Amino acid sequence: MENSRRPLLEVSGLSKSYPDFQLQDVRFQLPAGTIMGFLGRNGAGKSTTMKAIMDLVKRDDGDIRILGMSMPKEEVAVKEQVGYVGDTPLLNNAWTMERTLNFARHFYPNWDQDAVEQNLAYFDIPRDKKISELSKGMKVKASLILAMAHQPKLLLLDEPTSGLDPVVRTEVLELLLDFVQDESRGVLFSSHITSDVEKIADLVTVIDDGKIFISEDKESLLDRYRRIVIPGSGEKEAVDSPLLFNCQATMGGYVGYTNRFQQFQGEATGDWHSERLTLEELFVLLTGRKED
Amino acid sequence: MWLLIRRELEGKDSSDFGQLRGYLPLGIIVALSIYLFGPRVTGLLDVGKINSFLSILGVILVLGSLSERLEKDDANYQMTFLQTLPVRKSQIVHAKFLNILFLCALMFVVLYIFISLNRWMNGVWMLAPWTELYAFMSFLLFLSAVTLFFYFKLGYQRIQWVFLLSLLIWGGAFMLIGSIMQYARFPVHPSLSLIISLILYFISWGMAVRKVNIKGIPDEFGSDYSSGD
Repeated sequence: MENSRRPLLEVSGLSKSYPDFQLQDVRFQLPAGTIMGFLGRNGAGKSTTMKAIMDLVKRDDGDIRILGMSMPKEEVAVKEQVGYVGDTPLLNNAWTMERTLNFARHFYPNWDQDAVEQNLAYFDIPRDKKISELSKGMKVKASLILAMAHQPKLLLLDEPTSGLDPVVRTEVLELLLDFVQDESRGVLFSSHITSDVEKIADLVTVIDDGKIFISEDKESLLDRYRRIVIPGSGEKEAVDSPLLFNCQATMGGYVGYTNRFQQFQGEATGDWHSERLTLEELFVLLTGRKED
Repeated sequence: MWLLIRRELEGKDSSDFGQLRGYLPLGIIVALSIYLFGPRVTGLLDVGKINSFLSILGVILVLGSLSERLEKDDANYQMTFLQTLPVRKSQIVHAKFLNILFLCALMFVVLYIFISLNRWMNGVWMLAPWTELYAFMSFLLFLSAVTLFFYFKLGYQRIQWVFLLSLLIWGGAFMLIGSIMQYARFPVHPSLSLIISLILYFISWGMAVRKVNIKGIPDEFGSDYSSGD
């Protein structure tokens, strides 16, 4: 009972130092039944965080728990419950898909051959072609099939849709949505394609310069942050509100942003209106201006 | 564990030891060459030179196999892939070291057979000390030990200098042992260099496991030390 209430993934105090980059005190939680979009600019620390979760890079400090189990102490048991797709497909180019699956299946007690067959058909992946003969999109799909073949509870996907055409991206996103229909599962999905994250994520975590900037529910985040437009005829006092930041004069008045929209709504006077931001706009705003 | 060892043993394109079948024609060619170039037919090579040739061929085959496997693994991110499977990192190290130990043992037996064949076909059959075989096998083990340790410490892209360094160290050590054997008042068995290499191999194995448990397996393409994304 206690296990069912526990987050699928808990990352706390994760840090890792490289000569020219530091991951600092990374912490977030992924509850079961959710998809978390992990956003960050190139070099922000997304892949390092993902690799540290999988113990592909050794962290300097911090604690990682998956299904309540500690990584890397319970590495084998944890990895039976995790599917990982890296930013580069981890498939042997000289092998066929058939051989890759035949090799991997022996490591997992939960291997589901029916699901494999279903996904091979869904993605139209040939079994007998060498991986080297597959297109980039097919390799990503093949990696996903492999990562999901043992019915993992947690999927860690590092930029899985980067470089894919819109049709393949949609197929991948649909598969992920289908995956979390089982509410005991979850997905951590790193990307800098914010539209993909906006489509499927329930939670958004933003990392910038090795630090977690925000980690919360996507809808509440998009509700909290608003663009405030004050027409030229409007009250100038609104512009001076401490609840606004990045205020700029425009041709027709002023534009600013707030991260406490409800409070602003209650306090602001005069003529103004708000606009909901897209996740991409919010991402640019957040990573362009670091605020508390 | 067996699956990991089997992955190491299998050829890059074939399954079920298919590549071993490919060595059969090579074996027949070598056996014929021993006979044709030996003292009984053309006399181009004496028995000792043929033994050296066979030993060098064996060393090249095993080192070639090791080098090819490490290169292919690196190119295909296979160390990373294996780490995503529910296995301990130490098992990945064990599989690599066991594979080379198995190949060395196999090559020892194969060379033993061919050297015996050479002596038998060329009419000098006798139980002499198998100095050359021991020397080549010890070189093979020493080089493998150093290569694998640095592979797990630095990654494939940073071990190109290892071969030269190992050759120099082993050459120096072999000359030292040779001198000891020549001037020692007590008899030194020629297998000593092989035993020393074997001990070094196990030490290297243990150190590689320890390193991997503490620091992990280096990223492929040497990106371990670059800044992360």
